[in-house]
Order: sequence, then structure tokens, then C-alpha cells
Amino acid sequence: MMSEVGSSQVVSLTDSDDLRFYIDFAFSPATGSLMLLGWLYDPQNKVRGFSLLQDKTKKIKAREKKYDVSSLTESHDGVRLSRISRLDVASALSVTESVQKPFGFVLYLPQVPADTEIALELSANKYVIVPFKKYANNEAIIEGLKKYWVHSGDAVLSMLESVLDKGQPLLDACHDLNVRMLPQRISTLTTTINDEDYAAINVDHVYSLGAGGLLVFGWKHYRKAGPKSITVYECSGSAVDVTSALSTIIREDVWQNLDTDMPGMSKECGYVIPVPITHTPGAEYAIRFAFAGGKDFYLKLKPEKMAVDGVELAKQILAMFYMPQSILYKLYNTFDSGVGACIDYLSQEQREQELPVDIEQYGEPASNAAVSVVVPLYGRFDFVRHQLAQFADDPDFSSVDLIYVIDDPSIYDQTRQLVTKYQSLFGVSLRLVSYGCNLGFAGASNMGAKVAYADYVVMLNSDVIPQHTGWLSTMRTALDTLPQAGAVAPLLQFYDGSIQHAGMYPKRSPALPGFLLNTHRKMGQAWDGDTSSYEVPMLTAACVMMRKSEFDQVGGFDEGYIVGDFEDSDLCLALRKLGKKMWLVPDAQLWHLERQSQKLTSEVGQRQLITLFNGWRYMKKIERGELVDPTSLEVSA
Amino acid sequence: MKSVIISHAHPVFSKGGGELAAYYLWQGLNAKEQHQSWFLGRGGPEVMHAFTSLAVIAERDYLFAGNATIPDLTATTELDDESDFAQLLISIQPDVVHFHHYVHVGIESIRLVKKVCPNAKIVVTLHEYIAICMNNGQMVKTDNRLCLRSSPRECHLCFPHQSPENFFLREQYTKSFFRLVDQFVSPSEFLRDRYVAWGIEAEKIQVIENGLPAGDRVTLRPLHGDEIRGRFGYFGQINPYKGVDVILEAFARLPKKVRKMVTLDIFGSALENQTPEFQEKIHNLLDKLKGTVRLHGPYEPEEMGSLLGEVDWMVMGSIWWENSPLVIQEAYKFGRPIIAPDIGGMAEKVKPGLGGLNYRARDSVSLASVLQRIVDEPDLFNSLHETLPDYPEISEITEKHLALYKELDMGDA
Repeated sequence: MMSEVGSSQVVSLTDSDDLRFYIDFAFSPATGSLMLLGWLYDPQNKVRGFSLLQDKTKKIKAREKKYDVSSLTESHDGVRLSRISRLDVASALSVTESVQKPFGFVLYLPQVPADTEIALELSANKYVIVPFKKYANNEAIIEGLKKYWVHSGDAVLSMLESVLDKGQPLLDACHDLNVRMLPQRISTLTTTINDEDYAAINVDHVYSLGAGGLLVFGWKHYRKAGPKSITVYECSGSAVDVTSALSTIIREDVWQNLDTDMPGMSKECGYVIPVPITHTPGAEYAIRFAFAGGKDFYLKLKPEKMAVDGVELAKQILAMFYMPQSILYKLYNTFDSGVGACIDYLSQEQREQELPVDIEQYGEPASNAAVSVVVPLYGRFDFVRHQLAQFADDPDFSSVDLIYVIDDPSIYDQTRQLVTKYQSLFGVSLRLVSYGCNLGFAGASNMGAKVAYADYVVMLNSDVIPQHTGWLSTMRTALDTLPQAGAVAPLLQFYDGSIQHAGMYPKRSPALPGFLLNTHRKMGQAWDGDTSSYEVPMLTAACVMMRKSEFDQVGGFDEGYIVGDFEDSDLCLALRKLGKKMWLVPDAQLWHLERQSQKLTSEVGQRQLITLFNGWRYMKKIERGELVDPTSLEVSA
Repeated sequence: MKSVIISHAHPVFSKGGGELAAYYLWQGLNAKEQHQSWFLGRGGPEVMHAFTSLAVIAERDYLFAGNATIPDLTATTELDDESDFAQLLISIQPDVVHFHHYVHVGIESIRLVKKVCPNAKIVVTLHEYIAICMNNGQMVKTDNRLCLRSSPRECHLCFPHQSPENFFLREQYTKSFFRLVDQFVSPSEFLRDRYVAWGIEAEKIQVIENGLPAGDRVTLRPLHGDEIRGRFGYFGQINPYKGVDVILEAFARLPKKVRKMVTLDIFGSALENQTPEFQEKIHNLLDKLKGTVRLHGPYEPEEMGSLLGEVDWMVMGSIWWENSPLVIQEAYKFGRPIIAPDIGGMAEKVKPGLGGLNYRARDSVSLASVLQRIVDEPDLFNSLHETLPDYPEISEITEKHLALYKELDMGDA
């Protein structure tokens, strides 16, 4: 089609022009306004601008209504333009789209008379009139927009949010459409956005916890106010508000890298968001950060496959907390926000596994023994030799069900070798229990208790060495005779005689608000030599005797504590729930060479976090009434 | 009565004081009627058979394979009832098993003996301080200071890669076996005191000197002209603990005029096994002392008398406490006064004016002034020579051991 426009020429585009301009969809968001969705392919920069033609005679009416494509900004008469990527166009034309000059656009013109046409101005006063059909009916608009929503939806929505009043039916309908279109849109989302006006947001890791939900780690820098809401969308369109679930964490690494690019960035730019969504493998999600002023940012959440077991993942998640020591003051609240529940969920996963247990008997079985002694081994196995040397001449050990639980596959061979060599020399009957993995102190102890024959069970650390014979009898008599005794423990001393354990007490720390910790009262002090037994709130599990039936009744040690903390106080408070009391029996004395039983890890920060996670979990159990509150006990004073 | 003497080495292959004392005792016991004694000397793999850990040297004289780590003294050999060591003991059925040291043998052997020969009494002769001190049992700190008492913390400072707890475990472990010992024997009061301070009950340690085979004093060498009694002899290994360097330094300090009047003959070996620094130090001193000092190399115990006959004095240099050095008794036996450091077992056996002269241990200046005094006071030698103490003769020492064995045996009755 060719027609005259004044002195200018209106031409049609041909293939040889190497220029394409399409208006995919046009509609009127409000009376008099026009929104255009389309694309322009102009590799030779032939287009000078475009004009609105109101003259039926096709005369160019007003120069000021001519817009220059390259310099168009929102300041022009309330005109708004968003450039958007159109990979579909690039693919159809077999060309590459540059980031600086994407093909797609969404154009909003506030004042466009009814009969206006749009013309593209080419060089030499050549015009191309681009026909389009304008829709005004909301239903028709939504139906039309749907087709282009995957790539243009964000821009349309954000433009509409800025020009339409809240509550306008079209706006609401577009929001609905946006959600309905999510399944198609998610794959187009990225995991990072950087908007100069609002924010830079990054999603680093998304961990799927199966039924335990998702855990999202990343960092963000808000340039103005933070988002008014954060929402996670599933493919189905159902949404979960996670605004209050976000906890900030220190990300020194991010801060160091981006501080110059992003002035004013806080070290506390990291975040973690637990999302209570049941994840199905392969599913992806979108997270929306909605800012005041109608600006929304969608990012993709693509859960990572679990390459490791639950506890390991829980540890990895805890390792994501950079500089934990600086956020200790709010760690309890962070765990409370849902992170704690997620980690708890993960560590539970492993617990449900059935393990093949191997039991080897050395010496004559002590199946009619009165006492079972369970010793978990982790890292160091040479303690076995030292314990056996001290048990050897103790008459009590002529009939004890001694169980070494190898909780560290890497020491299995050496432990077996050592026991083979020394067991007959020391003459103490024992069993080696192994199951090819590391369960932590609680799991290992429970495993030992599971195979224990006797009515009384002693939980003993491998680095505890008796100071005298007869300590088992002393403890057993104490357990049988002391009022309501549910567990008894001996006096434990460091190698120099200073007290290592003479009773465990609850303790709060101002540096760790929310947590309830344990303290060994009088630790490091000289023992006064008084051998009379006394009641204490709790006992260490380094050496503790209980009735097997009561140990079983409370379900043994709670294996939900990662690696191992708090399970001893937990057990004591569970026994107290049965009305039992804890007694310290200083007439029995053993050495405790603490710090020797586990390899010292360089990841002190992470270990500390694990301890504090355990502490949080412990506190929750107390709050739920599953354990007696140790601070409520008279003996805690 | 039947006894088994266990030694950490066999004198056929190793001539240390400990194994010699054990061997002399074994010979002494077998010389007694109605007593049979077996000797079990530990041998290294180079002298053992392929598939048994036992080998016969002579009648009732065995080599047995043993091995143990110094840090925790634990055996690296078999410890069960079926082991060759256990089976030999079972076949002997001894009344007494006497460990004339457990080092290199494995401390667990004590329990193994108790297990397979429950009625046998166990005697342990303590030599150096190996149960107390991981620094080769010398009770010398790794920075070379003398040490009088161990503790896990102090030992950890000597060996920072070993935790205090490990030292504590070593002590507890060792004591678990020492509790099975019926009687300890110490060849010196000083060593006994160390072990009592460490935790062994005083009444469980009896002091019995190491014995020597009977022998006569050797005549003094004739003097020529105005020659003085200025010939000194050193007997023993050449290593830093024995302090040959201290002795050489003392000779180097003597004024030239004095040095011309004295000589030092060194009979000893093992210099080639020392650190290059130590070897260099010794060689430098030897160069400086050409004409005064002569290095003869190793000697056999049987040569002791004739070698001592060539010198007037024995001189010792040990920088550690020592226990009861056999060379002191050898000097007394062959009739030579001793110049010894004033610490530990040496100060106990050599007292000023009785048996010889003392100097401040580790102090070459002090030793030099003693040497000077000997040159200045020619009569000193004669008065010391005339009042030399007796040496413990093996038959006398054997009697003491037999009495001990019998007493232990009676304890059961």
C-alpha cells in the first residue's frame, strides 16, 4: 500500500528493506489512552521515529507529536516505554538480539484520539503506516494479552500499575492473568535482577526439603525501601506469602565484592527464606518481590538436587550463615522464622533409615550381665586400649555387657585390629557394633542400647577412664537406693584433678537471647572430697547410668540434635517428665579427658551454629512441654 | 626354684649396662644349686628365625622377638596366650618372672605373664625413667634442662604435638601394668625416689645394686720420672647424654702447661650415629686436643680390666641423672677412682673423697678445675685409691635377688 502524506511518501515495507515493525496487540487501558505491544527489527537504524497521524488525509499534522525511538523516555507527555527481550522474534528471524537493543517494546500513550494512526518515519521523509486494531473490552484485552504475556507481561503489568488506580478491574484481571501465566513464565525468569531504582536481588541456592518445604538462600540490596511483600508462586498459581519469613544474614563475601558497585550496601545483605511448600521433584517456582509503587520483580526458584544426606545438607545450610558470631544475638529468632524447622526436618530424614547392624562378639558373651556399658567411638579408637587396661582388674567387669559402637566407618578396621590384639590380654568380654555410617552421639548410643542385654545401662564416653575399681557397683547401688533416682553420674575430673563434671545446670546467656544452655557448675575447680551424693538438675552423658526400661520408655536419646549436643540434658529432662530425679554420686570417680574424643574441627563457626541449632531445638521442646523446664527446678537455684 | 630373666636386649649383640646386669644375674642364679634360671633377651628381626619369635642361644638362654613404641611403650607383637612368648613361659612354669626392663619388649608383656603364669611372681628392675619421661627416659627436658618431676602439662611442653591428655593416658596405662608387679628393684636410691614420687608405693621398690662378675684390682701403671697420675679414661657411648663433649671442653680449658701433664683415652662408640652437629663439635674438640686426647673406638666388657690398667682415673660426663652406671662399679672393681658429675645416681655412688671427686654436672669449667686440682695435689690420687669402696659382686647380688624371690614366694604361703 502506498499513499501520499503531504509532501511525504507513505510506503509499505518490503523484504528488501531489512526492517520489520509489528504491533502485536493494542488496547486502551483507560479512555483516551493506548498501550501497544510490538517489536521492531532495525539493524541498519533506518527508523528515525514514529508519529501519530490523526488526519484522515494522512497529512502529518504536528511535528511535536513525532517521537524519536532512540530517545523516547517517560518524560515525553506521560508516554512510557519498556524495551523487552523477544527471543521468539530473534528465533523467527534467525538473528541475535542484543541486550542493549532488545526487539520488543511495550508503549503507553496517555492521550490518543480515536482515529489516530501510527506511522514509522524512515529517512527521506518516508513513512510507513502500521495498522493495528485497538481493543477496549477488558475480557478481550485479557484474552489478547495472554498470548504475549510470557515476554511482555511484566512490562505491561508494571506500566498498568503506574497508570491505573488500584482496584481498576483491568489491573486486577492482569494480576490474575500474571499468576495464571506463571507456569509458562517461570522458565523465562532469571535468578538475579538488578534494577537501578529499586533493588538488586540474587537467589544463590534453593534447597528442596521435600515435604519440609524449600529453603531459599541469596542476597539483596534495596535501593530505596524494602519490598512491601514477598510471595512464592507455584506452577499451579497458588501463592505463599513469605514476607515475614525472610531472615537476613551477614554476607561478607557479597559485600566485599559489590560494595563499590552498590554504595550503601549492608554487610547484612544475605537472606534466607524458608518456604512451606511441598516440593515435587522437577518443579520450579517463582518468587515475587513487590515494591511500593507497583514495581514487582519475579525471580526463578529452581531447587537443587540433594546430593547428600539430610544431616549433611542441614550442616551445609548452617554453613551458609556467614560470620555467625556477629548474628548470634538474633539467631534464635532466625531459627524461629522457619529455618530451624527446615533443618530439623532434614536431620529427621536420616533418622528414619533402617541400617544393617553388624555385631561381633569378643570373649565369652556376658548375656546375663547386670549392667550394659555403651561406648560410642568416633575419630580416636586408641582409647579402647586404655579403657580395657583399666577395666581389666575390676571385678565388676567380670560380667559386664560392654558394647563399643563404631560410629565412624573410617576407624572400623583399626578398631577391629586393636580389639583383636588386646581383648584377650585384658580379658574383658565386649561386643563391637557397627553399621557403616556416622550417626552422631545420640544415634550411636541408641544403637548400642538397642543391643544391650542388661537391665541397667551406662552411657560412657571413650575418653572417660576410671580412677578406681568398683565404680559400676557404686553407681548401681546409688541408682537403686537414692530417692526417685532416674539417672546417676559419677564425679568426672580432668587429668589434673580439677572438676570436669559434678552436675549440669541450665544457664541463660545475654549474648544468646532465647537460648537455654547447659553449664557444668564448678568445672575447673578442685573437688572438696565430699563423697555424699546430691541431686542436680541434669547429668552429662559422658558417664551416666540408667535403667534400660526407663531409657527405652523416653525413647532413648533424641537423635534430632545434629552431631551431638543437648541430648544428655534432653534425656534427663525427659526422665524428669516421668517423675525421676538426677543424682551425682561423687563416691564414683572417673577421669574425663575431654577434647580428646573428637577431632578438633577447623570449622568452629559452623560447629557453633550446629550447637546453637540444637539449642534452639532443645528450647522448643521445653516450650512445647515435651521436656521438664530445668529452670523451674528447685535444684537449679 | 625357677626364674625367667627378661631383658630388652641380649648381651651377645648389645653391651649396654642394663642387659649386662641382667645377664650377670642370670649367670649368678644358675650358679646356685636348686635354682634354674632362663634368660630371654629381646632380639631384632635381623637375628631371629622367620616363622617363630623364639631362638636358642645356649642352654636356658633364648632370644625372643619383641617390639614396642617408645611413646606409649605398647607392644607391636602378639599378646595372646598362643604367642611363642606365652607358650615358652607356660612350658617353663617359672616361680618368678623378672623383667630386667620392659622397654622394646612391650609393657603389656607384664600382663601376659600374669595371665599365662598366674602364680608366678613378677619382679621388674627399673633402669632409666622411661615410664616417667618420654624423652628416652632421661628426665631431661627437650630444651636440655634437667627435669625432676613429670606432669602431663610439662611433658606436653616438651612434646607439643602430644597433648597433655596423651601423657596422662601413657602414665595411667603404664601404671595399670605396674599394679601387677609384685616387687620393683632399683639399682639406686635416686631412681627409687623418682618412681616413688611418680606414684609407686615406697615399700614396693627395693634397692639392689647391679652386680659384676668377681675380679681383682689391676695394678697401677708405673710412673716415669716426675710424671703424675694424670691419665684419664672415658668408657661408654659417645652421645650427647653421656657428655663426652663436656669432658673435652674441660681439657681444652686447661692451660697448655697443665694439658701437657694429662691425657684422656676415650673408649666408646656410636659417634657415627649422632647428629652431624654433634659429630662436628666432637671432631673440632679432638682437633684442638691433639696430643692430649686419643679416641680408641669400642671395647668389649672383658677388656675393662686391662684398659683401666692403662689409666689412673675414670672420668664421666653424663648430663642426665643416670641410674647406676655399671662403669662406676667396674672402676671400683678394678681399683680406679672416678671423677663424676654431682647429680642423680652418679652422686650417689661417687661421693667427694669416697670413690673419687665430683664436679658440677654439665659444667666444663668445674671439671677443668677438678683436673687442675689433681695436677696440683699429687697425693689426692693415693688417698682416694686407698679408700675405694667395694663393688657389688654378682654372687652377693644374686643372693639378694634370691632372698627377694623367696620372700615373694613365701608371701603366698
